[in-house]
Amino acid sequence: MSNPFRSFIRASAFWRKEIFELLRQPQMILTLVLGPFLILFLFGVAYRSQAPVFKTLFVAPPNSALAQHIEEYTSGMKGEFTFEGVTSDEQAAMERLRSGSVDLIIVVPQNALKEISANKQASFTIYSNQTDPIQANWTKYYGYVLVNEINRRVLQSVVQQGQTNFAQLQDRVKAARANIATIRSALEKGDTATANAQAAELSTNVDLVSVAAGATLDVLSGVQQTTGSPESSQAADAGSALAAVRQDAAAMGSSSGGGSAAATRLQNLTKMDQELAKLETNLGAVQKVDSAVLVNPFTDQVKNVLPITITPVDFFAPAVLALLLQHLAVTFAALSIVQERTEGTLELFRVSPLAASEALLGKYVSYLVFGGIIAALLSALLVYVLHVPMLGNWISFTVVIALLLFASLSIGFVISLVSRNDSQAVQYTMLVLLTSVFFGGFVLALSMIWGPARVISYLLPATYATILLRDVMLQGLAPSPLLIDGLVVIGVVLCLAAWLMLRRIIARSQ
Amino acid sequence: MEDQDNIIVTKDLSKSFDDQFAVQGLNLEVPRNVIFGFIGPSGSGKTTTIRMLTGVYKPTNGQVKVLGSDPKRFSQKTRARIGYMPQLFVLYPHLTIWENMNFAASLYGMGLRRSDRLRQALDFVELTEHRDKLTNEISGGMQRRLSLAATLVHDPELIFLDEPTAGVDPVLRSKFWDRFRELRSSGRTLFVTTQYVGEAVYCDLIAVLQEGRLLTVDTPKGLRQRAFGGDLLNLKTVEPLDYNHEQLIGELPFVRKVTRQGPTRLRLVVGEGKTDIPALLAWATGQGLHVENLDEFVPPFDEVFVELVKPEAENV
Repeated sequence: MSNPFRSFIRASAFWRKEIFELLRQPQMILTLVLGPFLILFLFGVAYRSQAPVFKTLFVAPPNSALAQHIEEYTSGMKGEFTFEGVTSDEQAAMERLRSGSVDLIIVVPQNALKEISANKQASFTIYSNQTDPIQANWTKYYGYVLVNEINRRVLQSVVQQGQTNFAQLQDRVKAARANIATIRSALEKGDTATANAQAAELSTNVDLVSVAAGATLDVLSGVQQTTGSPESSQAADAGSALAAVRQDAAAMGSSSGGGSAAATRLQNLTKMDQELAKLETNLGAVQKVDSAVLVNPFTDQVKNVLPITITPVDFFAPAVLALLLQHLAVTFAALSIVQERTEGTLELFRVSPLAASEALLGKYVSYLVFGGIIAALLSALLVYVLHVPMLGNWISFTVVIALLLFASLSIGFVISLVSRNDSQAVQYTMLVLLTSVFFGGFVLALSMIWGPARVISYLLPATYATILLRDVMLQGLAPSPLLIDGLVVIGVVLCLAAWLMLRRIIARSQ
Repeated sequence: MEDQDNIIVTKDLSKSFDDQFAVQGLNLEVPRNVIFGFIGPSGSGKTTTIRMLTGVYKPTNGQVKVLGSDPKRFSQKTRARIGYMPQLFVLYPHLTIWENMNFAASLYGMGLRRSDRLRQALDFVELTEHRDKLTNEISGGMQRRLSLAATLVHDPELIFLDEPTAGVDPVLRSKFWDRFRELRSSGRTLFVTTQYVGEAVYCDLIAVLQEGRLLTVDTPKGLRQRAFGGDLLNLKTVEPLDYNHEQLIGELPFVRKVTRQGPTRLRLVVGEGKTDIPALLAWATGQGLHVENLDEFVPPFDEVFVELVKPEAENV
């Protein structure tokens, strides 16, 4: 019999042995397949994609105007706060926070108006009792949202007041235009005194229009500046018309005399009248804009270009599959050789003609087959029972799974060869699992990990597989060659390392 | 160290662990086609020696040739000529007897048409009818038999058996030795370690090991003679034997030692039992003694071993 054929037979010893040993433990296989599936299923049922809601108690002076409006203000924020009332007793409120009966205490500024008048921002103090840094970040965010809401309401109130004055504004514009008509008539009659008196009245009316329209027009002007919009708007037109009228009215008030001066004033009057007419039209349009729109001129509409809606279960399923298969392969391989060592079979291998490469090949094949079967069962459950999308093709998916198993087995074999006993191998395996949970993109997105530390992420097969499986399953993309290469490199390098170590153990005498 | 007649040759073979010698200055020559017993108490270095002979351990000093090769450089072909049964059961508990046999056969690269050979090996240890039982469900004795079958499955030329009968009941132990003799008869060489001194009687050659040192290598008969200074005879007369009789019998040229066993009984050490018995009978008749019984006494090997290690122990 030829040597290659004998090598094949020696390697095959392990295929049969490993597969038979695993199949003799149906409970374990059931746990391996159904366990993760049930966890994902329960996660899908239980997960609520909602931000936390904090029970919030406000602390404010007894007669604070703000305190009277707090409940109304927070009523628009029901997703974030549950209103637990307003109290003036800060100490009692803090006790409630410590006892856990409320989640947040928000202390309203004592003398808001006084501080703002003194050119200072009045501050809301927010107390929480959070150990969870993520919840603490939510607290900060909600504080920001609350203050924004209050600021918005204050601004809206100002704008509303401005718009209420618009009715009077129209009358003032009309009065100014009447002044122009009277001045024109007086100048045509040569009645300079009347013209001058009306000019003064015109100037006053134009100033009043300017003050009344100012707040609203300034907001609209701010919007235009913020957006950098080049096109003219009604507010901008009204603003510029108003500025021109004020300038002309001031000039009108200061000029006097007859002859050519009177002719010039008549020309100015015509221009002013046209500008006021234009202003009247534009102000009318601005007045119709809702104050809520004026203070909150922008909103957003987020649209995902993906062809499907991805649920949290869909998103986590590829990562769970990658993590589980990695853990399974690492654990099986890690225990595999160390058990041969502790149970004494390695001694038989040393005396027999078995080569390290044959033993390793046999073990790789058996665990790849077994891991492949588990992967197939789990994938079928995910796709056909949990309806996790599978937009890509199954060949790409199979390639990724095979490479993930290969790289993970290589890690496991190296662990097995450096471990002295089962428990040490299990400890190393758990370290790989923990590292994968935190650095493999399972819990935290890779972008949230500090750049240099991401090297750790890219030493783990689960990182590559998570990205690749999400690409294939959720986006229907072809696997990135760079990431595929990453898995191949990890697998091949560690496979070589395992082979060298096992060869030393089997071939060399102690 | 080329030796066509000897399948194993060692010269000054030593192995130490952390400066503590497990085996020291071992010189052995194991001829082909024998049962070579390697006897010594627990911790005397038997397993260490087997491991050096099979290439599992590298000797600290000395030379060793097994099947003409240094075990450190055994080729795959040479390894395929060796069978090794470790001291402990090391096969797989979740596999059946048949599956374990298949695994062992595959390790030695046996072709796919090996069922007959597997069956023969199981027949040899009387396990065929249990072939489908899981190994963790069979008795310790059956596990030892399975180990032996797995060791023999590839029909090795040289078989190392490390305490094959340890923990095995006397009936099975006897069967094991029957099998070993069958193997020897079919041309195999067996290197068997045991701490049951009594099993030395089944061997063709016996090496006695004490605290890592080789005390002696001899045949069972040779060992007895070496231990007691010759063959042992029990003499029982009708008449009481007095001091004079004891003195006179001790003065016979072929009698080396006389020990009183009772008023009418003496134990004699002679050069060669079978040839010296007629001379003794003649002497008794001449003395007017009626001999009730005179035969060769074969002492148990436990006693032989104690006698052999006594001088060593006294030196220590």
